Amino acid sequence: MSVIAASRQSTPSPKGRDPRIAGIGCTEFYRRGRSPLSPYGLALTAIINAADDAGIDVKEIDGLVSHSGEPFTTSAIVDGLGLSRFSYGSQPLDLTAGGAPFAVQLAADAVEQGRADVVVVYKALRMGAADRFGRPGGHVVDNRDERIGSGKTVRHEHVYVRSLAGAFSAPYGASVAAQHWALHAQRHMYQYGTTSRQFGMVAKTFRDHAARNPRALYRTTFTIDEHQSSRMISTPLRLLDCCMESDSAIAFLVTTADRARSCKTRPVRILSSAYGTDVGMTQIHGWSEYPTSNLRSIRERLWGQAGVGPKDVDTAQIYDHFSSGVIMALEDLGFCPIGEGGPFVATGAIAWPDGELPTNTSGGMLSEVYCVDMNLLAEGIRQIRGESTSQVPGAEVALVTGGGAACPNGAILLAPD
Amino acid sequence: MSYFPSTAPIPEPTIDDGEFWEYCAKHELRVQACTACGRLRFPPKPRCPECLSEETTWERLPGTGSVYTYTVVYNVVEPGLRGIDPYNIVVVSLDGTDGLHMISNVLDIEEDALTIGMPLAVAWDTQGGFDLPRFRRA
Repeated sequence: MSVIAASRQSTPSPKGRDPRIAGIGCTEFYRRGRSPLSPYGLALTAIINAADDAGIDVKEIDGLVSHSGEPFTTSAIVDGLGLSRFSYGSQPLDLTAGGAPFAVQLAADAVEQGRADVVVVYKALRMGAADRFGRPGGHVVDNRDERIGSGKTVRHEHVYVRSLAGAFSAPYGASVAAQHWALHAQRHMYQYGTTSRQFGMVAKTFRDHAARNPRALYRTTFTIDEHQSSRMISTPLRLLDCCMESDSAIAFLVTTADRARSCKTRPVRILSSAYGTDVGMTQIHGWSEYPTSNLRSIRERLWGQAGVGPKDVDTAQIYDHFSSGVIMALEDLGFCPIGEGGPFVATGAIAWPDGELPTNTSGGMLSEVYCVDMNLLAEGIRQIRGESTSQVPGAEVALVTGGGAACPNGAILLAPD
Repeated sequence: MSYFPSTAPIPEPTIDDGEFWEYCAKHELRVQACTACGRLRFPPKPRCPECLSEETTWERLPGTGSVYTYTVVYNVVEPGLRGIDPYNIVVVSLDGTDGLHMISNVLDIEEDALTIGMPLAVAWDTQGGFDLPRFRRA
């Protein structure tokens, strides 16, 4: 814990504009298709909630960072909230390369460089008939008909990533994330002896954490035996190994340290963040480090810039699109040797409160909500603030990782002000 | 009989990959070989990622390989593939290359018989007017 005092020598910005995260805003979380609001409406609500959390007037927002892939424009947000001071907008590449960590780093950079004073990061996701997922970010939709209560037939969109569904994968039936990451998971089992029960330990642990979180959408706990009975999706991944689909929006407000210290919340500092990628011929199936969660390249910079190591991390929020990906991320970042992530989680290491690394303490994308990974960053911030439903006492170093098939991937370390 | 129904997705050839599909139509499995440095690459790209040269030839591969990894799909999402589950997807490690990978399917195999390392040979299949390189156990 005292390592943070030692590493507080992170040099303040010469302009005196050290960025801090000062606000979290969430909408209510809904099962897929149940939100009464459009993604646009959800986003506006989340942004308003983030400003309210910080105690800053919405009209002061002068910067916006989209998490990327939104089916509405940033202009719509500016018009929708009357942001007459708007002067800065950006977003991660492709389908949120680097995830929520990269998005909040963009906001922090904008504040630090004087581009804007109050920057909000946002993401809205809504599945179902009232929304047509658009082209930005490379989404492709499939249409599935379903009869709803009124007797109407509505079309559901299933969003999948264009980069995973191109000419050299989709004709062979490989299009959605579950299929692509199942290929990694199967190879991990072959190379290292990882078992489905170890995937199940990840899923069960995060569900246990979600059970303590009133916001979480899936709170019914299950045993590993029950995990083994859950429906097979794409071998070796079962239903309980896969993140949910849901409707929500989440936003973060970033401002200067001076401003943040006068806000209602405890400011949260970015200790370090780093991004990088394996380079492969066949995108995620040609990586030289296959199977991987594509986080190995950031190790030296992430830990080196922060002056801490894996042993100093009090809590981790790890991109859990699939339980198998969590095991690989733990290996990639050095919490355990490569190939030993399965046995590592099997010891209970990632469980709150007794594990050495309580992970996805609000339930993750597997059990809390799927707003891509925005809820993971929210939980990392809450852990530093002391507001988690499964609080690690005195948490001073919180890791949040990004994920997915877009690059660069990366991670962020959060600390108190 | 094709592995997938005619409603399955089909390639849309582009400037960058059109030649690959033209060779497939002749039942030739070819990948780009950089003229300058010799490195093979797949999927097709305008330049060699190693030395950045635009000069390339298309090298014919032996057409054999092995299963690098696989998955059996039980939850079908693609609308054009409804009703045919389960089906397999494999990542093939291609012989004659330095471990180049290609996504494909294995024909005529029980889903629980797939193993990593299984030797494969290309088995041309048709889909929506295209010839696709699928594989059979060798």
